[in-house]
Amino acid sequence: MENKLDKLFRDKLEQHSVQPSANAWEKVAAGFPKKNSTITWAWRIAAALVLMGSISILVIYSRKGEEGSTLAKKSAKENHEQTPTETKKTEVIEDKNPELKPKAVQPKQTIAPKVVNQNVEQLVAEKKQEPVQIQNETIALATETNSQTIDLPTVTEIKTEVVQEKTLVIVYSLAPVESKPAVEQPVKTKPLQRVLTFAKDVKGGETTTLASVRDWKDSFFGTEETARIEKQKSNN
Amino acid sequence: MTFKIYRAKDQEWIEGCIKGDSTAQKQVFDHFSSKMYAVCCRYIKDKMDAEDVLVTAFTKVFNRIGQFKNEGSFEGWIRRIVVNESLTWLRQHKFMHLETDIEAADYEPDYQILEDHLQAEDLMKMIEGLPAGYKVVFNLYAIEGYSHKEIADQLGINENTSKSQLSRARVYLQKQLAMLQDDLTKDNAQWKTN
Repeated sequence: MENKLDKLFRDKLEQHSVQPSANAWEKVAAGFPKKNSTITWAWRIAAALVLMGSISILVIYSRKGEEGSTLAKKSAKENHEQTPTETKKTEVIEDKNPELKPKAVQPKQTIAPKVVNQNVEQLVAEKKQEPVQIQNETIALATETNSQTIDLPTVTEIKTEVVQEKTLVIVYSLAPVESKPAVEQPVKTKPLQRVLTFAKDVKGGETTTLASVRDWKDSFFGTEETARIEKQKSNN
Repeated sequence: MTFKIYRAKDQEWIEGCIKGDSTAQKQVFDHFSSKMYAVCCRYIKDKMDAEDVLVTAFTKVFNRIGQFKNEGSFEGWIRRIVVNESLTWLRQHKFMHLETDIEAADYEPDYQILEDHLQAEDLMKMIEGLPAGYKVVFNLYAIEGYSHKEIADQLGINENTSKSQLSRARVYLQKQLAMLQDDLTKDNAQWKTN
């Protein structure tokens, strides 16, 4: 049983109020600078990060600008050098080759076939390229990349732009995303077959420029063996 | 319904305080400060000292608001901080010495009469008059609701010491109440006579 005296005091005093002095709140508010400095520090750090981010973006875009002028002036070899990266590279590859900034974002490989078809047709219409070797590279690179879903219209537009600028062959990592050992596998899907057919046609009338580009590409991506084999086949 | 509304208001204040919104902080202070000041006054006799403790306690409340996990009531959480700050002050100012003995009351008062006639301020004065050690234990046990084990842990004393301090506090207060009842009875008698 509860003590009566305890109960008396508790009932009367538990919720009892006594008004403090008028400047009690001011005294409490005066003890707040710590919180403000915390907020200030957070803002300072945020500002520093934004600044660093801005500088990084500026550096990237300035490099990109240099690239653009270089593309206009330099040979197809250099352009071609950029092509596979542009065509295929996702942000992952972009990080590996910071100088070669993709002008277009790559379509997801599963979506790629349709996009590729459109773009390939564009390419055929607008320029002759050698997508075969590039395609091989594309496939090889495709395995590396984490294909990202991209706006097709956007990609298409950019591709066109690139092609018009110069010999930027924008080849897509075509269908056989599912097939892992990509390099030497034969084309299995229709779009790929079309591209290959086209490539072979082009190959028949290859120029010196394309040959040198191809050679560079082969050496760069280590597909020399593939190129040799292809050559033998075409010769036979 | 009323309870739910009250709870929602608490939540708004808490969220505002976490963001450092000074309006929310002022609202919390305005709402709880008088009740918490009464708590400080029960432990600390001097009003200015009690207010200093109130200020320290609320500063801690706002600094630690992010730690309030909605386990239990917001007022209960604030009250615990205020009680702890009061005890800390008492420890620092060496008011925690324990009394030894006290005379028992002549008789047990009629609590019903006292309940009907006594105001909170009357009882506050009685508590202020308590010797320091009795005061702390009585406040913690009878009003705050701590157990003897919790009080012992909090004050660094033996559980039996806590119990003996409590019983002595009760004896002291009983005497005070008895005297007050006598006065009330005399007043009533006089009024009736007249």
